[in-house]
Amino acid sequence: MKAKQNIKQLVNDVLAKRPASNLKLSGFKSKKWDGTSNICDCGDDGDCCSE
Amino acid sequence: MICWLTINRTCNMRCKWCYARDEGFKSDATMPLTTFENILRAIGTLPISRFIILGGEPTLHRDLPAMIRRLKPNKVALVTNALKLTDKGYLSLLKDSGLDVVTISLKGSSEEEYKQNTGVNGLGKVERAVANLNELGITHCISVTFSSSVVKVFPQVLSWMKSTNAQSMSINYCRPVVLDNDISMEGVPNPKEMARQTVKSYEMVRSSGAKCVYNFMLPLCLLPLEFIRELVKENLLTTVCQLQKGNGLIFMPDGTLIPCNHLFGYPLGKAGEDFTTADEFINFRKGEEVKTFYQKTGSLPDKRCQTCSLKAQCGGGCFIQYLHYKPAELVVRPFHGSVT
Ligand code: SF4
Ligand code: SF4
Repeated sequence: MKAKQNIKQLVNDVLAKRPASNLKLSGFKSKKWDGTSNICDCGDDGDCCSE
Repeated sequence: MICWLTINRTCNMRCKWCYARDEGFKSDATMPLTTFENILRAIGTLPISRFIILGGEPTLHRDLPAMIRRLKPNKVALVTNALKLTDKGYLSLLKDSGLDVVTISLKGSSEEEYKQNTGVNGLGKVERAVANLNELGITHCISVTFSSSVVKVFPQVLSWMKSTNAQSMSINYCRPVVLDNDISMEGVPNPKEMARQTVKSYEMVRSSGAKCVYNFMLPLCLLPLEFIRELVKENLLTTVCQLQKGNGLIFMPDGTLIPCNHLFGYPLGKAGEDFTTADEFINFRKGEEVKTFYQKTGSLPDKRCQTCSLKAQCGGGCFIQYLHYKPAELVVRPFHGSVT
């Protein structure tokens, strides 16, 4: 369990240096070819359920 | 919103860079159907535009066809190493179950490289899988991760795309690998170098005629503005991931919700425990902790970004890279011009 704590700590350290922001990140979105979605590709422009 | 379901962690490859290396590939975690149902119950009323099933290697999950059927009529995509898709009967079954799109992660441009990177002679198998996908008329995309080694063999990758008749390609970027108690930079090229290679690769892409989209996950200011304009004009650029937008849901095999597939050491909550019904889930997502988390991951990494004309289109790029680099090491300068 200790090991996992380190990553948590690391992430929290990075988060602590960032201000909370309400900036709406829109990004660019290529809609040229379907099927390009993967884990790092948002893949749609739907809104977050927390909004 | 998009929902990623990591239905297992088992794999039939041993990729050098995989996050499962973290666990010595020992994880045999597999999502039981009860967990799958718990997740669906919790997210039931949300506007999910597509489900993306991944692993591990999702085709090793025996309930994959049943899961796909259950997710319909939503759009369902599968991220796979394609080894099992050499079996046309199996691929047909997935198609008949309702599979819409397949993304194949390509792990080398020669059989030798494949073996070196994954421990398996996989290239010939991917070729057979692509032939099957074409034959069955299934939309597919080859996902290539820009690492030091891919950059060197990029021309071969492009000619492979052509010779196999693969439909389209997406370029993704190598990022630091989050290990249990460390961040590994092994095989991760310097972001400035990846940006330089991006510009270089575009010329090759153009002359080869390959259909290719760049999922650029680095700070945009590593690229010349003219180049960004060109990609936007050609509709070839995607930026800002689900973590930064806060509109992705990623579930692990045990129902744990994580913010990004590289951050499974940072669970946000668990289906069946922290939320059971759709109302509970919405309240959970609106809760202070989760809300603040996303407000911070979705904020800009460096003060200079505030004045940047492309800040909403960039957001500083992949959050994971800031676990290793200081913002000042990555952010070059704010843009002042527009892309159009
Ligand atoms: S933070 Fe990085 S690794 Fe995670 S989803 Fe975003 S781009 Fe991908
Ligand atoms: S200055 Fe910041 S927001 Fe602008 S392109 Fe660079 S990293 Fe992105």
